[in-house]
Amino acid sequence: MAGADYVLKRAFFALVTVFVAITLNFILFRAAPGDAASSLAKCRHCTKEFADALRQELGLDKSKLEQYWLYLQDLAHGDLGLSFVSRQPVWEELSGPLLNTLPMLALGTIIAIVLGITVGVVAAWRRGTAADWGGVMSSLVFYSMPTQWLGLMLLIVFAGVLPAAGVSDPFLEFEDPSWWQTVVDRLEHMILPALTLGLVLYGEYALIVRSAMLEALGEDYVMTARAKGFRNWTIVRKQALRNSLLPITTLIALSLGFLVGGAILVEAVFSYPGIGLVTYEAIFDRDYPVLQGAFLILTLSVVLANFVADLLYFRLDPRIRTT
Amino acid sequence: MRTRILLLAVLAMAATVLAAGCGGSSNEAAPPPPAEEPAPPSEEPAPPGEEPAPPPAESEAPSGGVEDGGLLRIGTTGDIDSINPFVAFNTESYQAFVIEYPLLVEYDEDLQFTGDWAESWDVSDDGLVWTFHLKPGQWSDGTPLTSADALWTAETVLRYAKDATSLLAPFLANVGKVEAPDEQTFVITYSTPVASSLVLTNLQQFFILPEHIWSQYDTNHGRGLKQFNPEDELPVVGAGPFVITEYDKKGVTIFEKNPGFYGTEANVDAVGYQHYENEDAMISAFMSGEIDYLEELPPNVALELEQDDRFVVSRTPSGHTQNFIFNSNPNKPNNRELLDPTVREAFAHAMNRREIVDVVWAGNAEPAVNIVTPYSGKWFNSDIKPEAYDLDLANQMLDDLGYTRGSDGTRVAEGHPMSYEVILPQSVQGVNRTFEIIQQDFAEIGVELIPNQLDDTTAFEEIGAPDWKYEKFDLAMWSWDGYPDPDFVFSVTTCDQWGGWSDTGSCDPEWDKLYIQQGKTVDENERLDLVWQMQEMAYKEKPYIHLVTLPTTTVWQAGWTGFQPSLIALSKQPWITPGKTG
Repeated sequence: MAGADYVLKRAFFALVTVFVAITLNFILFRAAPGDAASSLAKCRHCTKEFADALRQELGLDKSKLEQYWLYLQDLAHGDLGLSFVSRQPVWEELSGPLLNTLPMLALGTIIAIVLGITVGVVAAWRRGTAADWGGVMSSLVFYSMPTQWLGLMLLIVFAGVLPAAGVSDPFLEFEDPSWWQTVVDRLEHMILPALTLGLVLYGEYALIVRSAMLEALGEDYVMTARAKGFRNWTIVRKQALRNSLLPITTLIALSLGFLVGGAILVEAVFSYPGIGLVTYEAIFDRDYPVLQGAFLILTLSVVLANFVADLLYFRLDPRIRTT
Repeated sequence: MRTRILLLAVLAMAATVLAAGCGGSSNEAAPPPPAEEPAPPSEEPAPPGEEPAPPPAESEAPSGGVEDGGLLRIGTTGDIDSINPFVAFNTESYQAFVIEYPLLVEYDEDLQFTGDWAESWDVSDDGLVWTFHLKPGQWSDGTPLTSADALWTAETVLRYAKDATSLLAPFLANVGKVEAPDEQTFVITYSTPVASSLVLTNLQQFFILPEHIWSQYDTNHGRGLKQFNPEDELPVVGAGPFVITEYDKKGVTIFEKNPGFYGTEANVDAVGYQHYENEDAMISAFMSGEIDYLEELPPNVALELEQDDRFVVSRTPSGHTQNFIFNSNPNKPNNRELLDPTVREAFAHAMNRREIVDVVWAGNAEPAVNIVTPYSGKWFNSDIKPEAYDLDLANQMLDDLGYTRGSDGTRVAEGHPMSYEVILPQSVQGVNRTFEIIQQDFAEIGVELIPNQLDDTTAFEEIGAPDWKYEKFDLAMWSWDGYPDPDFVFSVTTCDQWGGWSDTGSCDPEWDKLYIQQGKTVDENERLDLVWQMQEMAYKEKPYIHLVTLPTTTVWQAGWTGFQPSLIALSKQPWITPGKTG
């Protein structure tokens, strides 16, 4: 019963957060300088009638309150509206790029997890040695690096080795590629943006893992295990690491939500046609519906990640279940 | 904004001003007719300042040993914003339309007009009736290409000129009537005299569409034309050397060779036009051989690539100028001392153009003096020289005006410190470094400049604020791209452009009068006098201080030849002549 209460409470807070975020998105974009109508009309010499017709067609002639109400109504029906620029449904504008972004984020996260846990564990286990110092320093360096700068550096370093832009080689089709060639091509294009994200995240993960591991390694049960004569690796794997997983798991869940937003910088650097790039362009076009849709997805991903973290905590930490 | 979007295309918009100023003038006595055939090449462009004149076009003519076939991969940071000509706005889109659709005329390598689809043309004695004799041809789907297509396109554009087809209507400004007496003849009758150079400049962007495809979308007062997405029915039906077979605005657009093209067959089988969001990524892709040709290259990168035998760097003159803008709205409420031509002249003497050229552009630019540049050939007034960089003189001029320095060294004008905000749009290349140089020199003359960096849309709106009344801003920096004909760049400082392309708020009836007059002066020598006179006037009144004029810098892999960068978006040739060397 306590569990159901906990889940319901968390779900309610998540919904409230989403509603507040939707409202803020609506207000923020319209409060920003620049007029959507003037940029979308793209014809300052058009007649007033033409501009009015355009505004009417896009619903910009209505009051802000009315626009907000219509936006909520449409959202309730799962309709994100039409892009001001392409006049295509926003979901169609976003779904393709989202499908490009997700595998790249997944690869980036895997890189971060594998590197972060490995370096964190080694640094904690070999505390005070060169391995520890190297691990901590590299984590700090990558953690503090601006994502876009790291991306540019990787781009320069790997110029000619890995593709610099896009999600695939647009000219590959002229060579009648096999299925395998297509997959390899996609992966090659994904590596640099994923590596950029992975390296920035790795720093954070490694530091947290190290810290959690150090705490665990100082516990009595580790000393007992040592006294029993267990091998080092067994102690790390079965005792220390397993008990350090709590903060690591929640950290990963939380950072997953922010990753979607972090994709904006990486995708702009690598011209990677994902949701981040669409958002970036929509800002310049004052394409409110696409911006609202993109930010809704970002909001949902953060809220969902938080919700998942809460549930994981509930599952992993018995203390929460008993309170 | 203006370097990225299609200002060039709106060149013709200026003719709308002409039309406005010509109301009821169609019965005036017509000036003598222009030559019946395309004019012979004009004299060489005059030298800019004291520098030697650049060659008219550093294009590489196709030489022997060019291989047929293959794929040309072009990289750009611009994008084809739409492949619907009624919707598109960006230069890259217009370049695509030049390739895809027939045009009556285009530019040749000397930047003179030559026929594209038109074999030849005649002009009536009164200069009003232009008769184009067309080459036989067909659309890429096999349908015959005839004057009926030109007639339908022109009539449709004129019918919805104020609404759905407003983006293309300026190219047919002042057209009273169009006719197609037979399949190979198209006749345009103007309602008022228009300078022949202006007629041809406009017609070079009159894209002729296939009636059998587009007429079905002429619904809802033409709005159906705007709503049609040609990418839904690929390949796009065209009649140029290439047709679009794939379109991805933020990815690659593929153009495949059209075997039925009425002109010279292209060397390559296909052209891939790849968009890059990031310049560094594009250059990296080029250096690693993923791309064959880059259309725009920053000067510092050009210097680096020049040292590498694998690449060929080309610089061709262009009409691109970067400038320092004064709010010239005669009714601006604040800091009205900036309207004084003497203050502006003093400011101009504090502009170290040579340092800007050397530091910001690594020597790959020329000091500019006017909005019309040597790229425009005879239209450029070579008698006018840039103001000498002389801080003592600038100080003296401000002293003479009684603007003494306050305790902090900043002068006081009309009771307030001479401290001004300068709007700096994000997309203008080198704007921050240029501003720093100017800011430093202005401090020496007791004028404080404060940067205000904004994204392009916001910057343009701040300049026009509030509500396109141009009352708020003082100073800004931006750039213009001009066509060889100066009409468009003159139009941007007319009163009519308030809320349009004006970035100065300039409104001078005398200027407008001259602008209208030059537009309808059919005699080229008479028009030349007016054009030079207008440049003198602009130099004196200084709505802008022009800083530098930049070349178009392009680069291609050494294994390629035949590129003609000076003709990009002006002719079909830049995509016809390139090929791999044998």
